[in-house]
Amino acid sequence: MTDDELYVAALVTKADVARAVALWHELAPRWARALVDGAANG
Amino acid sequence: MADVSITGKRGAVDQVIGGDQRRISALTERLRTGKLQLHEWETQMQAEIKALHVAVGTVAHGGQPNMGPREYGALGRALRDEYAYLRRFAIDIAAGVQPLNGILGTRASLYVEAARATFWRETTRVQRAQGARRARWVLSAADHCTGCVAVAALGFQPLDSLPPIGSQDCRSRCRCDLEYQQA
Repeated sequence: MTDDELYVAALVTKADVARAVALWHELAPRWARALVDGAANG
Repeated sequence: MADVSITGKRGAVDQVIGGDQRRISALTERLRTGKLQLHEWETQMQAEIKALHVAVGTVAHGGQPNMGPREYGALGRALRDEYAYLRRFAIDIAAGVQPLNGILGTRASLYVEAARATFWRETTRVQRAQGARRARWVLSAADHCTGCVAVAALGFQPLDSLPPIGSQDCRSRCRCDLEYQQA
């Protein structure tokens, strides 16, 4: 994989965001709503 | 709007990292036992790593509503580095430098642990934007390396001069925290 390919592969897409949200709901459902779906105190 | 402390977020991040460790472990076991080809493992590792780093970065910023191109761009830059490390790992496996033994899983788990550094880097970015100018290194209750002990002994330091979590001898295994202070 070239540097350019690494750069493209690392770009965060909407699908990646959806997977990240799904990860929270799967692994830490109690926290997902407060920390991910809505805005928690930064 | 939920009001969750950094400590609370850190606990949640630990929970997600722990869960993702099991996923990475299962994925790597499939490689070790020949059920996955190396290129398949690398692609799936990339996806797992990206989901995890975006997940913890989102929490550091206070949730999806606070995420935009700048925030996702910063995560993408960090992911590029992680992917480059992963590429070298895959090359080591292909060359036989990294045997398909127990160390394989241990090394793979470091990519999950690295998400903790991403959480703290993004948290520091948020804290700086909110006016924090200093921070101190808070040792974890668990074992810590001599580098962490030395940095913690410095007390509060300007944000720009404090080394990031994950920069000491224990690297991505670091469990220490940061405590922020306004100017």
